[in-house]
Amino acid sequence: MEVKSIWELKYKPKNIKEIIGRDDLINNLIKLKDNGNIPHLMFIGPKGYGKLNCAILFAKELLGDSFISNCKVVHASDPLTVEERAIVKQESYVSTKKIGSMAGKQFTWPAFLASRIKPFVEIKPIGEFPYKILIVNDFHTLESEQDGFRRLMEKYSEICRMILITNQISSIIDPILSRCMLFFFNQIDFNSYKNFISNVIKNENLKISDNDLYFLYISTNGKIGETLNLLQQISTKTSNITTDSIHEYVRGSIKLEIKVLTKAILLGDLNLISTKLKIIQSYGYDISTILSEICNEIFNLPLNKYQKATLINLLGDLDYQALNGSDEELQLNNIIYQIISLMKK
Amino acid sequence: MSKKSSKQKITKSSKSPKEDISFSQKEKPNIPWIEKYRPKSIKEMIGFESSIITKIKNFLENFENKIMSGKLSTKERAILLEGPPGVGKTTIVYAIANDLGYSVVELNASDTRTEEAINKKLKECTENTNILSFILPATSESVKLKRKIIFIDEVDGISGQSDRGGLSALLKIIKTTKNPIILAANFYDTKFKTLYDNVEKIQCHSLKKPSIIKILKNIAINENLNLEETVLNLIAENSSGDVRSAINDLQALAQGSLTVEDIDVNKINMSRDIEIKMYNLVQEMFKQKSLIEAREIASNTDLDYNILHKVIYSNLSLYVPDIFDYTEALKNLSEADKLITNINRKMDFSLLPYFFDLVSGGVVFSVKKPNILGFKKFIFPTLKNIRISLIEQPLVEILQKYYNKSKTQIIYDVLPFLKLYIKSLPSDKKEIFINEMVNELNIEKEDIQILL
Repeated sequence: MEVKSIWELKYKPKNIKEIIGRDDLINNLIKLKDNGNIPHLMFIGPKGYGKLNCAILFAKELLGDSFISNCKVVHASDPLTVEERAIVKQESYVSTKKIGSMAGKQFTWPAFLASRIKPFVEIKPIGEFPYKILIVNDFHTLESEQDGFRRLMEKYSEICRMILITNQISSIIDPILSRCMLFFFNQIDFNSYKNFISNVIKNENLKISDNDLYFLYISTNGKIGETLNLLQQISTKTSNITTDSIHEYVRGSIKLEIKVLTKAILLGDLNLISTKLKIIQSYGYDISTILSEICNEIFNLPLNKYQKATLINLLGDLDYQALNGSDEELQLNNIIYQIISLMKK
Repeated sequence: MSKKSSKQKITKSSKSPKEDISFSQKEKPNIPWIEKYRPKSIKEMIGFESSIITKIKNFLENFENKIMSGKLSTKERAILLEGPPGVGKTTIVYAIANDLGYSVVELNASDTRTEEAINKKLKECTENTNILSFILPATSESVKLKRKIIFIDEVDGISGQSDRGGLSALLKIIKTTKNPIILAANFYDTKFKTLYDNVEKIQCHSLKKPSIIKILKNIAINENLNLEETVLNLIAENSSGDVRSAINDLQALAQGSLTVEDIDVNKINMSRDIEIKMYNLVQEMFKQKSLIEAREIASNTDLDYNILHKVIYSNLSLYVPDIFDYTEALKNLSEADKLITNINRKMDFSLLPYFFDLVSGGVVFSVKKPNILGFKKFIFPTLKNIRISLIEQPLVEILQKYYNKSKTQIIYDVLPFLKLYIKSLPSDKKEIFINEMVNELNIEKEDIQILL
């Protein structure tokens, strides 16, 4: 049954050709599909850009009728349930060696792999299609279990191809990156955004000017799901959408949050900084977008040009460092405290 | 055979008790040296802090004086000896009891310590009289044995299912006891906070190297060992203040041959790891004065090194009050984070020593004025996974099917939107929307109640 009550679900693409703003990427995927034999894929991009949806639609296109039995979506960030933990216990075995440090030791697979991935990967595909497809969402949350995953990728690559989805490429180990074909998801351009959203606005009997539409595009960072939520929210009050009404409900706009953050940094208000950082990170932006926004904001600060130059120089150095690290919270805090201590001197 | 042995027994028992003990010690080489050379009185204790001894004596005296008048407060009824293993906590209690003429009732980790067991064993101690005084003839020695000390060793071992109710039973006994209670524990544990609030705490520090060497020398002379100074030095150094382990090591070396050579010491890898628990990792690190010591602590924890820097990071702000110090420490930590990701990505484990350097020394020595006084709460680093309450679970699972998002995202993004949306709808439209949702998503009405 079709869902009409929630707009985000109502306007969700049902076919890979309905996805907007990613023509090149989808052409590449269709070429792969025509070829028949796909490698492991990895989709990289910020939260809310439609990576998982794209992967599922691609698998549907590829597998056809056998989609339901031969495709599985796994969310790596979901906590393990009680039953899954029981499976892990069953899978463990005691070493048969009698001498040495391994004697009598109990071996267990990493919990996530044992309960969610191995049972699906080990069984041969049902029907005529030669392989299955496994989609792993939020792959970076696996952390140290990535090593175990690498071996599964090699061992079962004949029966199963994997599509890994992540928004933090820096915390993924090299051996896995080298086994995958990479696809980058960027912000979609304004024209295709405008076409799609103005269609929706016509359908739902709303009104919006071109300028306001551009403001909507900026404040949601071109994320369509978030825009639809916002529009549905505003439609309960007025049918005429303006910047003021958008301002009232806008939540995820990184620009507005960064403005408050930079002010807090200038004042040295540590409590405000930590709360704002948590909010910004809960939206799922990666560190480079946050940094580029801070960099833009620095030009608007009441500082002389030498101070600005040193700040931007510092940001550049730290950005390079943060790309090499994996703990984003630590790296971001490092950057902010460096700026604070520079300002206080 | 049986007749002979019985004859021997008679001859032994006919001797006076003091001679009997010395006889059995010489005849039985199998007694471990730690028991054989355990000091019987305070005078034999070497290197133990005299201030602690006077504290315990004062406590016992105070208890004796006030118990009859009933003026004792709860804090005067029990003391806690806290310190690392092998310092002599058990020994000092027995030595003092021996000197002052107390008998000791001991409960240690080998006994089960449920509520029932504790009550059963200590029930008699809540009464005043001593059973021994009835049995023994009234000589001058037995008159002294009037009072008892209740000694509960290894308090931090009371835990889990097998010792259920043990803690509350202990508390009750402390409040009603008519005999002095002495507790001993190794580490501070937050789950014993209520117990610790009701007792007076005495900190025992680990022994210094010269006094350990003195103890070892005494034993070596008694056992006729030909030992060089350097060997004793090595053993004392490796024990890191733990006398028990030092004596054990000495015995291990002496077994078989009575001459000990330097090579033997090197053959047995005797340096014992002191495992630092993660909740006082940062505090211990800031106490160190050289890079090597600080690094040793960082690498000796029971933690996985992948989250070592995260644990330090999340607890750092408690110990570093100054902003400039904090930024310097953060700088080093982020550098360490960079290293560990490089190690994980490229499997380049030769970089690991530098990681430990940065995490320990880099943090400790970039801070000029650390604040290490007092007890600090331990903060576990934030994990990426979330907990889902049982009430939310059915709704979250159904929404996940339609939205194709992870549960975290649904809880943080989708549920707040739906709540806000339903709240802002006028009341007549609210019911229509909810009915639509129930029909389209196949949800039961009870599950939606969270959104209202």
